[in-house]
Amino acid sequence: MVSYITKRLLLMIPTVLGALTIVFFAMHLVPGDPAITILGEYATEEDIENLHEQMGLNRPLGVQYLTFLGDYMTGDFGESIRSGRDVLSEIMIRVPYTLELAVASIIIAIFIGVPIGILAALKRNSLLDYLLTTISIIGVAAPSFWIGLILIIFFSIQLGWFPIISTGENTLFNVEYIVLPALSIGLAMAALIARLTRSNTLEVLGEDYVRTARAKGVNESKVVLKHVLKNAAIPIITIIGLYMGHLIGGAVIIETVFGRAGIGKYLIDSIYARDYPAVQATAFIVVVVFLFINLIVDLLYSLFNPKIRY
Amino acid sequence: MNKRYSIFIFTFLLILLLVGCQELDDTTLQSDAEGTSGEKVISVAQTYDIENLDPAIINSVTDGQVAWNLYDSLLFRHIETGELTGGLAKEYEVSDDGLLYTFQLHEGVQFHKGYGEMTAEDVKFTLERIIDPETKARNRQFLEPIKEIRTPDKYTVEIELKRIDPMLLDNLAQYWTGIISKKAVEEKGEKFNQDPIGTGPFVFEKWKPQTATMLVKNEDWYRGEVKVDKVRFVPIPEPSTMYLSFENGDIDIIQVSDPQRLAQYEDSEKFEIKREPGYIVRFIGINAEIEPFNDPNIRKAILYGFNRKALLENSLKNLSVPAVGPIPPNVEGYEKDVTAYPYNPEKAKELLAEAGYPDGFTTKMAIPNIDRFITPATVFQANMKEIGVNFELEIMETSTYLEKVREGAFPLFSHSKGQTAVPDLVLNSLFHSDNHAPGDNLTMYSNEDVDQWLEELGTVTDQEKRTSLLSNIQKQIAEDVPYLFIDHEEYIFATSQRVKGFIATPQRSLQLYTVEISN
Repeated sequence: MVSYITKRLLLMIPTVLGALTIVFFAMHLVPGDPAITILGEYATEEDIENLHEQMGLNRPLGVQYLTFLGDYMTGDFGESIRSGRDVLSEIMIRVPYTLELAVASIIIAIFIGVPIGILAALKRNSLLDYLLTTISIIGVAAPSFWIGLILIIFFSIQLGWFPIISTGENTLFNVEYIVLPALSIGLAMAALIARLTRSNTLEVLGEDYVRTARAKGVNESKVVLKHVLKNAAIPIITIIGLYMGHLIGGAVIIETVFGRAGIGKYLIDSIYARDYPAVQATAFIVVVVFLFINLIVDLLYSLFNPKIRY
Repeated sequence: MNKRYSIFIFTFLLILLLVGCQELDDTTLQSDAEGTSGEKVISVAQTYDIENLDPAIINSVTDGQVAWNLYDSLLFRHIETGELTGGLAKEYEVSDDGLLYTFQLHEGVQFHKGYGEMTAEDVKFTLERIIDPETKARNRQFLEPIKEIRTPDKYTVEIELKRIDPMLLDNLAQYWTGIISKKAVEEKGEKFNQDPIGTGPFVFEKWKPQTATMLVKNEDWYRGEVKVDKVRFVPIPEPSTMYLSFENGDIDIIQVSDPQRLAQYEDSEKFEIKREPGYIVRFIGINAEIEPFNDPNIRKAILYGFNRKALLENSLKNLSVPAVGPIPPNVEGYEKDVTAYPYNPEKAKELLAEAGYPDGFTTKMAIPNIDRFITPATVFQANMKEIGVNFELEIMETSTYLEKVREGAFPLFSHSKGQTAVPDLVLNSLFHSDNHAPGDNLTMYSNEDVDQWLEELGTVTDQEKRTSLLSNIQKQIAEDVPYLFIDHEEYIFATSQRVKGFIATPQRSLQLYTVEISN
């Protein structure tokens, strides 16, 4: 187990390096000049040239790339072009908001999606199954920003239960601010998890060991929870892991709709402003978090399936 | 170790690591918003979050709007009357040759947070800091005519110029020349932009990313009493969310750009609308170096073929003032008596035929991916098709767009240009042949007379002479048609009923010293 984790951690190094290389070259090759972002439309050519020199942007791209890698080795992530602040601290201010949203969305998705999926499978081809399947298709198809706006209109404006702007000050466990954004993402995810759970459960229900358990007179809830769910869980965990990784950098639409702080929105704004240090450092953090989540997902497999050993 | 335990411990340590990154702060901006013990708190929505509050290096409208409330400049432009008067300088004199300005400062004006009295040293420091290339000040170019700044005594500042500068006084009334505390900059270094110290009507309190920026009233403001206790600037990037928050009473002041919402607010007694034509011009640029646009008749045909009236009335719902040239009606030297090109598709086709294109031609147009350019460009595209000029509209992200247009990759393009009450710089940047791309003269316009008039304009302060030069320039530009000037957009704000005294300004400055709250 320990050697497996160590191996995986070591394997992260080339992956992170590859991702950083792609981000570095992608950012430097797209049109747009950070010097103009800083100096504005009235800047003289001379001022722009001077700034290029100060920022090292007039050096060959290969040299810039090596300098960039060297800085990262020493833990120097640079300063944001827009704000002049240290990019790592800028990102770390926003990371908890993003993590909170991702975790809360996934909890909602699991608690809604898994029971619905199991229920639909157990009552296969019944009216309830058709109803739940239809709802989950709508859930998968509805864009999360639309769900977000509907939730705002209903829960914030009509009922006045939650604030419209959803960034609270004390990030963790601030239920009031997290419910609507997490629901917007969680509902769409729940729909997908429900569909996946339904099909996996159906598959497992047909297995010999389920029939054997039932024949032995094990009661139905124990059959479902211990035999069926546990075996149907692995694909569900995989999709949750992928979603979690996706949410770390990709919750930008919901962050925008609810005016929430988060690294997704920070990344997009940084790309528009050609804020190279901010884009590179955010990509670095997102990749590292994504890799750790994948590692956790892989480790969780062994909990559900004893045949998987590390 | 048991496998399950190791997984749990690993996950737990990871969560601890990530939670440990969180910056803990037990104050809450949200509870501040409600105000304690009857405090008067006003909430203002902005599209973007605050990035930087150092006035010299601010480069966004959002940051500028906050800065207008934090700093005072040597001179002061009244937001109600537009009149330019003394600010931190109670009076000033200009020498006969127009090269020496002497400012007498108010005595006893205090910087925020106990940083002491504002003196001539701070003024000299502030302006020299903008001029210093190391500062990377966005508006450094504007103060380029300054030769030397002297401080004969604690309350006197002398500014000596290399040449006459008709824009100097207006520049000294902008937020970016807001006087900052020398002591604070020396003490805080680069962190000054996170805890700025000025003398303005409001004092910076705190900023939380994508949550709010809080300012508190300056109890000792030199111009008199500020009537609200706190201001909360809230970034809300999504327009629908912003409108809903405003209608729900969470936000007091918003900028409105949606015609339907505007009509709804105008009809409601719960809200008030304040509007002001902006110092801004929206245009379609025509690169005169690219064939066939090097023929003036082709450019004129483009103007005749464009149905601006229909665009402004139907698509833009009259939220702007039609433009006859680059200068808005509320800016110095506006000349409305210039050659006009009213919508006349027949005439456009005739001109095209005369220029050798009876069947029209195919070309290219680029615009930034921003709604306010997409709508006019789409209407323009349809109009052009009617006269036989066909193109695909390439909509791209702003930085890419600007780089492509600078390279001359697109003969037609569209964006806008913000300006100030004095038009010299914007005219120079758009029309002087020295500023051809990669400068801001993206149409590659060149006319020797205009160059000469622009140069002369920079050397005269006599108002009559300036008006005559500005008139010549605008008339000539209308003849040469390097641009199709569309309109000057209005800045429209809606306020909740409890807000009184808010004034919309042509620079969208969001100055709040006049605002009161009635509970």
